[in-house]
Amino acid sequence: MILCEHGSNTPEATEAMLVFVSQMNAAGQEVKINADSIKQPLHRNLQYEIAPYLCDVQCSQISKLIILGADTLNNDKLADFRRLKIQPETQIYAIGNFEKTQTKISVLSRLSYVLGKDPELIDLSNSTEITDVINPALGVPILINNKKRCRVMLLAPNLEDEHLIDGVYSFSLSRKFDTIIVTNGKSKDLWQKRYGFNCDIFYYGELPPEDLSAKADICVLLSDIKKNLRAKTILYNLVVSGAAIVDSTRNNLDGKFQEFSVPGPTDIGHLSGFLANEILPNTKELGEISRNSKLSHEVNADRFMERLNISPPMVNDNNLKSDCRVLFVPTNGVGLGHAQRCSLVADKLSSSTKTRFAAFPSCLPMLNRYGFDGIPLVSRSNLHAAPYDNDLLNYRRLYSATSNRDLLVFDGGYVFDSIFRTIAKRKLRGIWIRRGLWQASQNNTVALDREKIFERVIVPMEAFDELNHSYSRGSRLKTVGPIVQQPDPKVFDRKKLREQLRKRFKIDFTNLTVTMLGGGVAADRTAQVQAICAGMEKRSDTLNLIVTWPTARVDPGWFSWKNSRIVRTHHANPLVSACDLFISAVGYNSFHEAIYNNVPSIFIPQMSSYMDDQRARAEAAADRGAAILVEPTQMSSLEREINLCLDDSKATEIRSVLAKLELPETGNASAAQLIQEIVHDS
Amino acid sequence: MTADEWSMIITKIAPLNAEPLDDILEVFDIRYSSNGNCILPDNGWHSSQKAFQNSSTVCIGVRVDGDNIDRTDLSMKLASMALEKEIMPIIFSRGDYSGMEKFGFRVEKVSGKTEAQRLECEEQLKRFWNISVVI
Repeated sequence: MILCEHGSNTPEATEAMLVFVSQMNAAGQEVKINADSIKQPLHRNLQYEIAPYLCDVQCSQISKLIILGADTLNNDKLADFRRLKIQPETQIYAIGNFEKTQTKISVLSRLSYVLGKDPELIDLSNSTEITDVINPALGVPILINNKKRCRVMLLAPNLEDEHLIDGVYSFSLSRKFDTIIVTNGKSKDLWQKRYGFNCDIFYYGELPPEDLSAKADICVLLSDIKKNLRAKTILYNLVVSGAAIVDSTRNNLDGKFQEFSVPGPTDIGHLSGFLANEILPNTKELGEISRNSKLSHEVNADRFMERLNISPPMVNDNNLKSDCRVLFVPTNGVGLGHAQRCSLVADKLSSSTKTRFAAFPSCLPMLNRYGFDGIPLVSRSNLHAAPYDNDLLNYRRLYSATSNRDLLVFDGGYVFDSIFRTIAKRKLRGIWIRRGLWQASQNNTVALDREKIFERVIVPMEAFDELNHSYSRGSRLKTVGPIVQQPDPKVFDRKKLREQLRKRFKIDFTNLTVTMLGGGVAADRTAQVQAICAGMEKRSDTLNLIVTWPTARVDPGWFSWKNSRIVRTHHANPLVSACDLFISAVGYNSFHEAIYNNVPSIFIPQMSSYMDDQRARAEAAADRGAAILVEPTQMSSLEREINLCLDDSKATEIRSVLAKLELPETGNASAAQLIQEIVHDS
Repeated sequence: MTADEWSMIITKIAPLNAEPLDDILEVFDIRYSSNGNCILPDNGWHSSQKAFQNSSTVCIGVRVDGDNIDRTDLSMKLASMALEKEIMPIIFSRGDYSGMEKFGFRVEKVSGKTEAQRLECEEQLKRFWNISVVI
């Protein structure tokens, strides 16, 4: 094992070590970081970034020890190094600025003392690299995606400059390029406040440099990056990878940059035309100039590995594999609705597509029953110090479940870091199935910002036009009809099913009602269920089935009613289709199942700040006479409406309206087709 | 979890189960196939221990598998212990469901095709919950 340490334990030192290790790993060399050496709490982003490289150290396993920033060694770190109990055969490399002989002697003697052998010193002071920092910045060739449209990365624009921010916006409107902006956090905030989310903009620490570097064919440098390790590493990766580099700063007049880059206009207003006329026709040649430049040679990670006596890494099999797998990740809340919707789409994929799921445990038995393998995700815990601690474990699981260039299909409202980073790190093609009807009060800025990681966003429509809203624009957005489960006439027999229920419950019912008010996570519906059961108790002609999920909390009082029975199933759809009246919450799936399958329904909306707008959905149906809306507090109205449906003609009227509705064609197959296109595009 | 939350859980524990209907309904669902598995690919990342909001939080792992365990009785015992000893039981379940989710217990799925994978999964969860004892 190759272990990397840093001479100092400041946050800057830890970050520098992390960037170095991440670059070495991107170059195919497994380099690890001792988990015990990370003393101070790390920023959230760094916790995700460092996760793949942490290890528990066993001294006998260390074949090489690399110490960065050796000229900054302090006594605490020396004590840590002593505890590593380095074996005589371990090779030790101390890297730093040893311009002063005194520094060199001091580092050598102190490390020799604590490690029991002399390290080999690598002096960065005589590096001819364009920068003057202590930590080595490496360049790694990154797989370029061969997108149909050229991708231009605007690197390090200072968007606090009013003229520049407007100019960058004008540039981003160009249809000749896809624009990616990489800048600091403040500039990103300013941009999104002014121009919204229609351009892919990242701050430096949002993703590791190698993941950001994979997003460009042309890089336009817009400010001095000599002191910015992450920006510099991105530039080096692009130089080594053979991207065309344009220097639009006024800082590099010493000629060093002209060896690998083309001087570009310093006025952003002229950039689009310059790129179109001068760079685009010559991208390949300019890329070759970058790749073969002196800088490329100097910063190439392979060259640095030679200095560390590390053999060239084996070719990564992941890059050579041909079969593409699809991993569906339905999450948010318990995730049942998302999982159900994904399974409907997955069913329509071609049988040769290798499909798996990663989902919360309560969804997995259902997915297994539909024939899909599933990886359990870990739910959020309120006991843990950080709200994302579970997501760090999920990151490990998602990363392990995927290989480079696989396809990840996410269905949910909030794009967790684990999903965002797995797509970036594994160079996956990401697809987001994003149901709409967000509540007006919701803050969805993070969700919209993270849309940039997906190649395609599939929006399943709502059945009624006024419920369809547009939250973002662009070529990645595709709309499909509602994704709905419908009973298959080959196996569904309403009469037979009702007969079996009569036998099971020994009730000779005329009316079958199904009550499905949700799992109680978003809102407690115990009182409403009690009220429904009490009403049903007066009806000897009715069997009321209260459908619960196997993990849902059930109130013991519900079991005491004679005409209402508590049931659990993974296959609620046939039951809903066979009933005379459906009393339901207004989630996307149950709503559309009722509407598309002609089931008279009473809808009781669940409204919680993180959910979709169930009331709007119920109102749209009620306004058309296609369902009844009852507010959760309207208990007496609820009983009256139930009786009107079962005793009078109200249910028949609703059925008649439903039968005449002109509904959009279901989108199950279209969504699968949109996924399949990306699979075949690999 | 607070004493009030555990008390609330205790009030809901009862030997009452929803009637399973899958045996009737699955034949009417054309998508039913029943050949998927729970899996756990793992590339051996380091299992980091996580800090709790309250540093005095203590969790124990409880493996719950097989049909011969009375879930109601076990739930009552664990909830009472949690209330009295201020210990958080984390249920490790290898089956589809542990049968204790409905009472409000935290249940973690132990997944994997092989025993080695399942043990690795359990190890990840032990580190996540800082658990040293699994019963």
